[in-house]
Amino acid sequence: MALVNLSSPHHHSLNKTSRLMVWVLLATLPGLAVQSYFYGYGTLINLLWASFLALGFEAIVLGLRRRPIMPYLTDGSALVTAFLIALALPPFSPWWLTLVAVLFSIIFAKHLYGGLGNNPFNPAMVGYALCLIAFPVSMTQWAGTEATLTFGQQWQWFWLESVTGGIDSWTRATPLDLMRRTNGLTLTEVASSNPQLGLGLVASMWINLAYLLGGLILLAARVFTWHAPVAMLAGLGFCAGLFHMGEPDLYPSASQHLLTGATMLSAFFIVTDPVSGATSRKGKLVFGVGVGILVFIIRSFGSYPDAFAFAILLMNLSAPLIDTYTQPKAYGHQPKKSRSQGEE
Amino acid sequence: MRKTWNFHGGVHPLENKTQSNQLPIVVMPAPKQLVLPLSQHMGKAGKAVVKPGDYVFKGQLIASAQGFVSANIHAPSSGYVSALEERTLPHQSALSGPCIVIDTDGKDQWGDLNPTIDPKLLSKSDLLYLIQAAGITGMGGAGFPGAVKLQPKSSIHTLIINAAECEPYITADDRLMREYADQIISGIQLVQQLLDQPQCLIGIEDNKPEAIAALNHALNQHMNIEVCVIETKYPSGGEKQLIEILTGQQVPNEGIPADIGIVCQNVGTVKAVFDAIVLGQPLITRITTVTGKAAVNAGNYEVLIGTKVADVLAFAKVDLIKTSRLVMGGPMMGFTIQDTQTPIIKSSNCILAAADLELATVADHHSCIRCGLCEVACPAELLPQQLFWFAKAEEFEKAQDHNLSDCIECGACAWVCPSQIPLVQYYRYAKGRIKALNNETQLAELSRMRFETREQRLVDEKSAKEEKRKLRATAAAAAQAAKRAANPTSADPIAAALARVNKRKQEQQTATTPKSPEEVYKELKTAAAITRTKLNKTSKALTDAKAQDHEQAAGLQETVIALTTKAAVAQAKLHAYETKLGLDPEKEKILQVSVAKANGTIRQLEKILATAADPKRIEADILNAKATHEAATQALADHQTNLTKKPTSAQES
Amino acid sequence: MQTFYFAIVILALLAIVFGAILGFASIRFKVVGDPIVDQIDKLLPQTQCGQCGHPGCKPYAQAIANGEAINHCPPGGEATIKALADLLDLEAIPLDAEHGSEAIRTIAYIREDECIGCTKCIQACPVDAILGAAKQMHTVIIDECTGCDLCLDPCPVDCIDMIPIEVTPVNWHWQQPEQLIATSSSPYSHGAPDHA
Ligand code: SF4
Ligand code: SF4
Ligand code: SF4
Ligand code: SF4
Repeated sequence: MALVNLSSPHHHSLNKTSRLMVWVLLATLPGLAVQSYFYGYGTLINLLWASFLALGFEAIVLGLRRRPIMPYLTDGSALVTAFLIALALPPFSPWWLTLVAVLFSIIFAKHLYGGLGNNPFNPAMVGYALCLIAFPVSMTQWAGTEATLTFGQQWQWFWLESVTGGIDSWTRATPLDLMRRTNGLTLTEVASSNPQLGLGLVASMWINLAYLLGGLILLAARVFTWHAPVAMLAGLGFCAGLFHMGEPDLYPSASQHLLTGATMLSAFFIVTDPVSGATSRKGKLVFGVGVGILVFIIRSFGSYPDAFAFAILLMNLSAPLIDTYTQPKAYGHQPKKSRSQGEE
Repeated sequence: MRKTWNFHGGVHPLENKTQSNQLPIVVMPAPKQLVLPLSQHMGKAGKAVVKPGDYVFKGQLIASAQGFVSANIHAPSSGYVSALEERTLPHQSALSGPCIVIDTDGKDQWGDLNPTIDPKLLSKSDLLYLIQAAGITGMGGAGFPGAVKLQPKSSIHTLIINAAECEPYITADDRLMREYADQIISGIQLVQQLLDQPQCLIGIEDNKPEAIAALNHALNQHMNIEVCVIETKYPSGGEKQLIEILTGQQVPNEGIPADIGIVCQNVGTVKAVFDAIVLGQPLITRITTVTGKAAVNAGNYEVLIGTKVADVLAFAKVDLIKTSRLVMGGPMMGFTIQDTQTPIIKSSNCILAAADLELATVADHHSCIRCGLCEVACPAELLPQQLFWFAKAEEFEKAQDHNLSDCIECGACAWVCPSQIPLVQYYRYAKGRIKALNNETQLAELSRMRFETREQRLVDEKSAKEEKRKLRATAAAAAQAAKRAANPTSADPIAAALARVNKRKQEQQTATTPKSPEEVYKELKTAAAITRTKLNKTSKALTDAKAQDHEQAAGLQETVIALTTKAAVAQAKLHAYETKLGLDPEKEKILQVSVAKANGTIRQLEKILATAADPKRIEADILNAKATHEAATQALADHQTNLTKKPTSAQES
Repeated sequence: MQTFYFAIVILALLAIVFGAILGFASIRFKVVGDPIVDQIDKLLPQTQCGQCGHPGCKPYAQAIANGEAINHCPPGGEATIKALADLLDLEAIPLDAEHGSEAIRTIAYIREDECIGCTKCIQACPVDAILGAAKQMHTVIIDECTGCDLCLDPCPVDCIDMIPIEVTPVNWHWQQPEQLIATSSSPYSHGAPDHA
């Protein structure tokens, strides 16, 4: 047998990229289940459709780029992107909305930058943000929680964008939206005048808790470190708490911020995206805090229903800068002062 | 229990130690042939002090250390030195280097040994001398000469004995401690004696309970030595990591442990110190683990330094057919060898004969997903993913900014990487390139300085010549004036007018500063040489390109044609100028060759003379040849003086 | 309206903070510059071979400063062109074939038995890397030879060889692993070190 010539180490852990991705996919399941429980089959249909599209586009682009298809396809990164898009889009998104989002994320945000590992932005968020800007109406058609469409109705809506009785009787503004467009009323007044807010908040809370559970599973499996998500939640919570203390009538409380919208989904599944985030642990803290603050600012003062996509893209932009300033100290490199003392 | 600290990162690869640590150490008999590389370590090569054909006793000095970071080498067994030649070195490159080859005679006969009866009476310098003389090097991995570390410039408060043996598979130190605990403790005491009795901490991983027990048993009453049991985690046996675990201090970067009052030695090394001082035996054997699925008799063997890997493998019944990867050292940091004729050296602690699929398969690697697992694992607290990125993009400066040089190549990052990127190879590549580039820059700087000095020298020489010429001219003028003064009638108006005209002419010439013929000649020559060189190179490139049916060929073809004309023109110009100056390089060449020939004949004859039966005749021949040589040299010299004269005359015309 | 003011205040704050950072960086990381010719000269390989058409690297550096193309130096090759392009903010262009092609570095070696001691090579060597006197055999100081080839032609008896620099365990190093997945057929290829 010929003896090979290789560089050490000759040993390797059983860790694989695909293993990490499978963990991420599994960890979204609790959230998916709770979301479907409250809003119906929309998310599920979306998810299957997005997965199908993502794998298809990935294969096509890999073919065009003359890369081997199977090894890249099985690394699972395209599926993760698809899942995130499907979970973030409203349950009432029609087929073409998902298609645009997936197409844009896989082709433009990922492969035009050189494929997995080279993309400066989180692909799912690029697709989502694009749809948010291009199709604001479709992106705010959130489902109500009182009654859900049957699978047949949902299926029909998904492909034809028509449903018996019209979609309007089924859609509701999201709680976040309601709390932002107060038309001069205080939050208490909004809540009392609009019973849906309360219901929406409850659903939101359960969904967020489910994603939190998924995130904790990933933490336990050491798929990522705690730094970025905790920093993001802390940043958001702190800002929200501060403003709520000052003007409780205008600004929702920290817990409402933390448990509505896509807070937990973004904290544990998107902010933790290693490719487009900051590198070192210190950098991840800064990155997370930045996302948290931006989410609060955009939610409170911007005009979009939810803020995390823009917040994350903005922080993706600044990740290289953060990296430059948060390079950790290597072994044996003392802080300057003590070193010069040592020399004297 | 002593307080221990933790170091950043680290990994827990499967230990795989039980395959080899069950049985006692087996002494392997001397093989037929021993190969001893003159360079046993990363320092300078030693100098052989034996010749082929010499008989050497076991333990006799055969190569002496050269300089500070170098170590003596001794004959591991008795026999005849059969060769001093290039053999494959135990190095990743599989290149060869100078080795002493000894054919053993099987008697294994010791030379004179000088055991020390009472080592306590030895002075520090005696101890140091004995350690140096015994050729002791670090037995852990790097193989740094032991004596170097034992003469620190600052005072030492802690001696750390590295018994962690954190690499999977290796059990050589484990077995050594179980069986030679007393000797190890005595060795430690000798080192303590040498270093003014610092406290001693033995760092040992908790996966070696028997060794710990043996050491503690041997220790018994020695108060200044302590066995510190540490958590099993790779790479706790890295010198810097072990120091941090045991003292909580970090070795300053670019510094050495002695800077913070610490010296670290491997257990094997202190055992060797014991052998050298108490028994008087130089370092000629070591314990090597032979393990891996392909080894039937996996275990630890006491082998002579210089034993070929093939012999060791045969002795341990390794099935070479089953082996696809031979690693010298452990699976995390060892290097692969391809030639089983490679010898064991002082730092070879393990030979891992791995069967297929036993070690990581050579998977194709994916892109880095920046998951950060490598960063979590890195004991040097670096950002491996960034280093990888910079190494891959060849941005070496940035890699250095991210402290690439602090990477200890432990492989923890590559071990955890889910994309299975051969990270360490990237770092090694980047380090090698950085070193090469630094060398190149240094060389370039040197060349630039030399080039500038030379230019300066040429300018100086020229101005000195000019100066001399002027001096001559004034002297001549003065002589003329004196002549004129002596003979005033010759100062007629015509001559004066002529002189004026001449002077004006000269002034004009200096005003336009025409180039001197030598300069013109030289320039033409350089131009001709440069075009010729260019032509040669391009034609070569052209043939290459043609051979590969390259698209460039057509372009190159044109260039060649253009250059040919250029070269011809330059040559013609040069030639024209040469004829103008009356130079004849062809002739000069012929003359030079004849001088060389004559010279050659003389040397040949002189060689023959030494052994000749008829010295008288040959001496006569030599005389003849010398005469021819003289004549040829004369002719050449004449010709050359002609050359130097001619331009001057040309200037006048 | 309140939002509007808020946005303005935030933007102003951001501008001040980043301005301060940039200002600090520009002072902190300021580079004190050599004259441009020296900077260019530093990047040239200093082989002094004249293949660029100038009698040495410094003159070529001068010429580049005066606008000559940066792709005339074969010993420097792509790396030098890239470095020059970075320094001068130009586009990196391929090496001009008229001046030669990039080759592995060699050093001169004089077959001393055949050397007739004519001193011609000494005169040709731009960096004084040849040692010897008239009618004595000559030898090349290998650490100082730049491999410029200029001593080959003048030698009347052709006793100078250009040999590649030897690879030893000291200067050997690993090559980059082959790029990423499945670009090669051999499963072991990314580990095979090249002797360079
Ligand atoms: S472990 Fe591998 S994939 Fe993860 S960041 Fe490090 S190099 Fe990249
Ligand atoms: S090989 Fe270097 S970069 Fe990788 S873990 Fe070890 S010290 Fe860190
Ligand atoms: S071609 Fe030769 S002389 Fe010109 S810059 Fe390059 S190395 Fe220097
Ligand atoms: S010895 Fe020859 S090749 Fe080397 S630098 Fe001098 S002239 Fe150039």
